[in-house]
Amino acid sequence: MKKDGTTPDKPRMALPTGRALGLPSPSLDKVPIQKDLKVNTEMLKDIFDDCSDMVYRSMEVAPGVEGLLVYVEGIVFSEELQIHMIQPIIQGLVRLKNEGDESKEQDPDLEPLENTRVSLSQVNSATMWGDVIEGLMNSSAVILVDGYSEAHLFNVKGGLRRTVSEPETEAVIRGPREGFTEMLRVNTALLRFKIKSPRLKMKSIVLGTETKTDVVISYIEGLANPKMIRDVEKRLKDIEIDGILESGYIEEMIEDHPYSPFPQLQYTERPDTAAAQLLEGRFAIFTDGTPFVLIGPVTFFQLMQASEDYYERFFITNFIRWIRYLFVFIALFLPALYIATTTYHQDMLPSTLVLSIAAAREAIPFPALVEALIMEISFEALREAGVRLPKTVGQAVSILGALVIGQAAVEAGIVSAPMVIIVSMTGIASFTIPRFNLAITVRLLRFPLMILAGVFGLFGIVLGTVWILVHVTQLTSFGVPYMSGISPFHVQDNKDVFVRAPWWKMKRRPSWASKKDRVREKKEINGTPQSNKVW
Amino acid sequence: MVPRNQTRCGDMDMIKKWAVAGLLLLSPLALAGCWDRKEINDVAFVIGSSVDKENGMYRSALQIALPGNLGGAGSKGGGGGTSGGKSYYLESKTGITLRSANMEIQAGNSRNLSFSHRRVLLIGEDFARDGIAPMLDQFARIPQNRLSSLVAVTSGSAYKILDAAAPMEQFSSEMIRELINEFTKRPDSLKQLVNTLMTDGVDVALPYLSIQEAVPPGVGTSKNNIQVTGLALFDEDKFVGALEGQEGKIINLAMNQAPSPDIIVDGPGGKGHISIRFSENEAKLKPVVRGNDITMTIEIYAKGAVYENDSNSIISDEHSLRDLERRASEEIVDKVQLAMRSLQHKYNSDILGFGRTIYEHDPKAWQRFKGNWKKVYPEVRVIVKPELHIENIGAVGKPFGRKEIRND
Repeated sequence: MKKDGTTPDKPRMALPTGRALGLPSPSLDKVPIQKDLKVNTEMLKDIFDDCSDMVYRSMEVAPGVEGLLVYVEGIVFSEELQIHMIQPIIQGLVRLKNEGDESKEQDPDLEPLENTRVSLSQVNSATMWGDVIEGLMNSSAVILVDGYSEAHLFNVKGGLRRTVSEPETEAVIRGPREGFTEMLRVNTALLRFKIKSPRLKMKSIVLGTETKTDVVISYIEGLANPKMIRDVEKRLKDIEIDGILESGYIEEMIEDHPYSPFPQLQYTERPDTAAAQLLEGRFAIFTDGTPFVLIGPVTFFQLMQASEDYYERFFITNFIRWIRYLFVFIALFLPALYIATTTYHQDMLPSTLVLSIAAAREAIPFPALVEALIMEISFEALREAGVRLPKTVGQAVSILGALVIGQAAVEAGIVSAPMVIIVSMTGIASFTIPRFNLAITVRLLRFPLMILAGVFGLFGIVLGTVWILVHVTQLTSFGVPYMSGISPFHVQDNKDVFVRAPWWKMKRRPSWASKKDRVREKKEINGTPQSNKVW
Repeated sequence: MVPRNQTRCGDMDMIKKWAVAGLLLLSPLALAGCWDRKEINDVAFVIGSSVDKENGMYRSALQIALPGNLGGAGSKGGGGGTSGGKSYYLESKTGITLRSANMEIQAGNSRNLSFSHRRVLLIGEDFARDGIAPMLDQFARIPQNRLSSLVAVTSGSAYKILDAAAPMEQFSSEMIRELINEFTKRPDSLKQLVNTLMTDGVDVALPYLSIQEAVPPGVGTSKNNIQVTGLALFDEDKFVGALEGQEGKIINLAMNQAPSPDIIVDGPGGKGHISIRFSENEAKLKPVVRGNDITMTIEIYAKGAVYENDSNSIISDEHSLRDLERRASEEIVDKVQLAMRSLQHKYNSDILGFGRTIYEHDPKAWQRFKGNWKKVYPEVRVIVKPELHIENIGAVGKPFGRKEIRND
């Protein structure tokens, strides 16, 4: 079988092996596949040493011609592999043997193998080891045939993944129930189902030297600013990291202001949200292996919007939006204001209120600031415990939590009842923020504000607020000002900032989208009967 | 991580900028700080205070809330519940000024006195007789001493009223505040009091408080409560007397200060009484100046309803209603004239602001009277012109529960 006459050892000696190098793929990019199957088998086994999930199946592909089928168990669709590959090859072999076609035996052409016998659609051939390894890692089954220095790769992506289910982090009352999954192609398909246009582009990039994670930048050509898309691509390509396991890795490396507590990218589990954002001229970054799709550029107000805002009638939406803004204020300032007014500015409160607070605080051993910090930190701990704990233990946490932040703490004289109310209010308030990453920012900023209030009173709160405002107004997300809508002020954008105008009024896309194609609706249609003769 | 050029360029400039901005921001921090911190349970909230005169000194009494006795959750174990269940603590000291008297009280108090929640300021009548202007300064000088406290004059010593029982409220101050609010449409706060003091042609009138028996003597334990019994009249800043009873109430109406006064009219034929409540009322002054002759018309417009009729006559028909209105008008005219007589001649106190009205209508004429207004004021001729409308006689037309009904 050594048709080229080389010894089996020679290439092994000449080539750095995977184990020796640590990083097999780059160094093997330029190494050609040998004709000798034994050499090739050795090579593969050497590269994938100690990889118990590799499957090597020797098989006769044509009478007297040895072949080797290699794949990684679990990540390939084994049924498909069985029906469309192994079965046809064996059956073909039997047929060939029965026919006793000698010429075929002597010159077994591989062409018929992929064209006639294997009925799989995604076929590639490779002559370099690098491509073979990449293919194997990307769920391909590889066939090596003795005497040929060309490998055939059949993509049979499969294996068990989660099916499309309702997104857990972004629940809605009204709206689609499907959510992204961990599979990139399922996710892009979910988006493609929504936007059936060739203008919906999906540019692919592979990131992570080890993980080789597929990343797709998606946008609508003509709606997204082309400069911004180029910038995004450049930022993504600049990433050099061993692995991308979640879109969060990418987020931290491409955002404009890495040291800002404010999120500069939105993430979503909902295809409808992603589609809506693309239609407003934004881009989406899909990362294989996570249901969270990154969306940029974002504004503060966008993070205050839930997808349902656009599905429910605008009266309700506006009401809820205002409640949300009110509660963001509460979540950020209420504990700080309480501390400032009770420790510095008692004269600012109504007399009866100040007396009842004083009555409740009478036996409390801590200053208001310490009391507030104790409560807020225990609340955060409680929340964190609730997220991490298995669901079966969750109930225990809520019972204990109710004791810690509740009547028991008040009766023990450790915290005052008004403080329990303040902390509970803040907790509820922070949960009304639709985007979790913004909610966590607000929670975080509450602590410096509380300390400022405890040290400097209202003056401290004002300082903190000024700092936050200054910071937020100079923030950008992919060049778009974070406060777009009010700073810089733009009338059209304001139809979707503090109010949500009815759909028939929102005729234009946001100002940061591509300048060419801004019109959303050609004509204002609001159901006013055109003719009275209809009924 | 790959540093991006566009954000990293000019690092030094940015650092400088931030350093300068940071320093600028930090500098005012020295102005405030935790040394100003006053925890809410280190503060003694003064909810009411009184001023009296004693041997030429000020006697100040402060009513201090005791949060420990207010019944807040978790306050059972704590607090300085010294006065046996009372929700306040009354302390009184003397001093050569009001401030020094208050500081004497502070000296005996573990908590910091805070005057920002003072609901009422009571002035004893003896003190008021000598003039209230000297003590007013400290209220405005320190903004913490709220100018929105309500002011009243008490019959007898003011601190006695502060300590009187107010079973409905936690504090007598709170009760007094509510009483004053009920008595006048626009209660006189310290600020308004000073305003009136400073205005030419009008004298101060404050609610006049006294302690009244709540039950007839000899029934169980005697009970007292605080009541607004009239109007305390001032000449300039000196208390000159009180207009009590019906006179005080009717002058309140003429001053356009009565929220909804009741007028009691004799029943037809002089039998029984009918009370009418004027829930909507307005009083206006119209001066006519001819030379040195001043005529002041007090126009009283009021809408009301019959609330009680203990006579046995029907008042539901047009004729008797008009008759009732006429008699109510006469009643008002009589009472106002009577009260005006004592205001003009007995007390010489222009609490209705005749002078101010003349100034508003005819500033030139006012210049003539300004110098000797106190002499001119008693000579002003007063005409009372009521315009009353009784719009409702209640749910029953005929007197309720009467066998014999008069219809005339």
